[in-house]
Amino acid sequence: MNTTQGNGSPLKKELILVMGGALALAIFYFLPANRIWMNGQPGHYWTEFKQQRNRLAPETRKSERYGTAYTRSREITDFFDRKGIKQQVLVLVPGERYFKARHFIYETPEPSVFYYYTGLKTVRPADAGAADANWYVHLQNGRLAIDSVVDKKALADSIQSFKKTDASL
Amino acid sequence: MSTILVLLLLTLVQFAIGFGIITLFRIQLKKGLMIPLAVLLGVAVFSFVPFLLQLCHISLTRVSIFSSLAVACILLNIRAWRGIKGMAYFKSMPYLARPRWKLRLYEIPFLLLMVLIIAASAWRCFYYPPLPRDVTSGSEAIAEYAVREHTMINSLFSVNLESTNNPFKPPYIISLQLVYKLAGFPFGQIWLSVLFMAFILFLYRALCHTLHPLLSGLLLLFFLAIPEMYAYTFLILFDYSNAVFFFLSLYILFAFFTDRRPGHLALAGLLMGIATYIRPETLVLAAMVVPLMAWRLRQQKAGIKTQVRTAVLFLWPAVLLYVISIPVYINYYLPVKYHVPDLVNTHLLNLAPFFKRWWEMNAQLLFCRYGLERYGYFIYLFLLLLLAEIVVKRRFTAAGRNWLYAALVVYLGLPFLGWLLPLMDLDNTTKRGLFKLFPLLLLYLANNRLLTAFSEKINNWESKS
Repeated sequence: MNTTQGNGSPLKKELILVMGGALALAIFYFLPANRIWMNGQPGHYWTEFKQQRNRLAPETRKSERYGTAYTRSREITDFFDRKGIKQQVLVLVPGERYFKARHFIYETPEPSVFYYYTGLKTVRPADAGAADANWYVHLQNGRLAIDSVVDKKALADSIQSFKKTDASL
Repeated sequence: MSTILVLLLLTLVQFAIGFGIITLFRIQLKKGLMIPLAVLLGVAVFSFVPFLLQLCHISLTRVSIFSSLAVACILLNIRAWRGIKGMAYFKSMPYLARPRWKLRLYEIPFLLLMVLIIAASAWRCFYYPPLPRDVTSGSEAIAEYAVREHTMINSLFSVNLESTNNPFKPPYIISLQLVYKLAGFPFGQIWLSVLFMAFILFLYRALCHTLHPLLSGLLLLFFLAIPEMYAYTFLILFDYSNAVFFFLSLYILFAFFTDRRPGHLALAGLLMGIATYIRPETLVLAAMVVPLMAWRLRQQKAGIKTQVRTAVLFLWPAVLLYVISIPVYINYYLPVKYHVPDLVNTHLLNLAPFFKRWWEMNAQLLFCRYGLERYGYFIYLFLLLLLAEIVVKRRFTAAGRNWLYAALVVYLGLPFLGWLLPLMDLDNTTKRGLFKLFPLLLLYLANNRLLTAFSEKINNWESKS
């Protein structure tokens, strides 16, 4: 740092420039959109950092980032993990609106994201392979229920029913 | 602590690789630019080596990837390690002849604030897993399974992919995620912070070459405070990296306009190739740069043959990387069919969608109520200073004209791409495609006559005893 010149004048000039810089920074900060951004993005992130630095387990970080999309998908996958059949199943999972219509919060991930989260293969009601599903997820008494497909006709009815709830699928 | 050490080691290797490339191309840049440029080039090589191994059907293991990176580092540095000839070259490098960076007291508040802003982004990048749906349904998911299955062509392709085309994007993110995951970062992603820091350092030093550090710091702060762009410094996606390499290519190309060093042209072409590897449609923007190149060469009395040869030398890496990463990789490697030509507009005579997209880009993205929330004051600062230069100075510097032309390429090129490739929507692709515009505007501002004159006044006042 160049602050030790023999002549006092350069240091004085440097201090004037420091004050000029501080003034420029103040103007920058007091422009409304900048202030909102500073407080809302980097500022807020530093506030979050204070808690986050003590919660470093990868699973916690995933749950925090992905929310119910991750935790509920994990819940479904754990069911198959416990049975030891995760690699053999194709699970029909209805879309988000199906759950929303029943006041159940679950932002259903699409099959590729579901697979990334959990390693479980899923299919959506409108997908071409929906009829190949051998398990399906639905809601029963306000809770996630997972059943095996015993009858292809019943599965086709379920697919139609899911599609009606969520036309976007 | 070990995490930080691993990160430092990876960055050091990136620097070494980049340094090798700089030496290989005999690049002569101004002081302070070499370190960030070397790191950025290293990131680019990291993003290509696993893909290259995949193309050669080599298993993507920790051993194969890190040994390949080590080999790349050694091979690229052979020239640097060659005795006397190399030393003579190093002595001619201004940044090695006088490597001192004199930090002034008045730079500190700006730099501190920037460090806080960058560190907040870096922490978030490290802490959270990748979020954008474009990567969790594509590159990140492929990288995650590539770690377990040692190939990019893995079980993700056995999943129902009707809802997404993301697995068919070039393996830039896959490769980087793979390297960092194998190095011990469970969510990868921290390479984006390395890229971000190196880019900001490069910009700061580039600004300082024409502007007083106070003005450089202030402009860079406005650039950092582009909310949409800042958000993508911790959300991995293609656009931020694409903007970085597109900018670097033009920076080196403009250096070539001045000194006509073949190495600068070659590196500019390589960097444009990397930008195209990240986002293939960049090839169109690269082609739009050619008229500027021809015009500049004409000014230097170059013949038509030279102009054509220069354009070909500039474009061929981008064409080659496009061919390898899109038609070759998708058609001959991926197990699921994806027909790229189907994405191209079939009604090319109807130009209405181009004008519509251009209008929407202005009215719905840049100059609207939410424009400030997305892009901050930066675009207004640019317009104000552009107008002031036109009114007061009535002409631009040669460098200023180059950057304005480049900005125009992006400003018109994005709606053009929206017209050519209808899948490129306004709210995602164009919105993030605008990231490419801002560094170009920043460098125009670095060559704005009013700002350079003001900087000169401060410098003169400062240096008078």
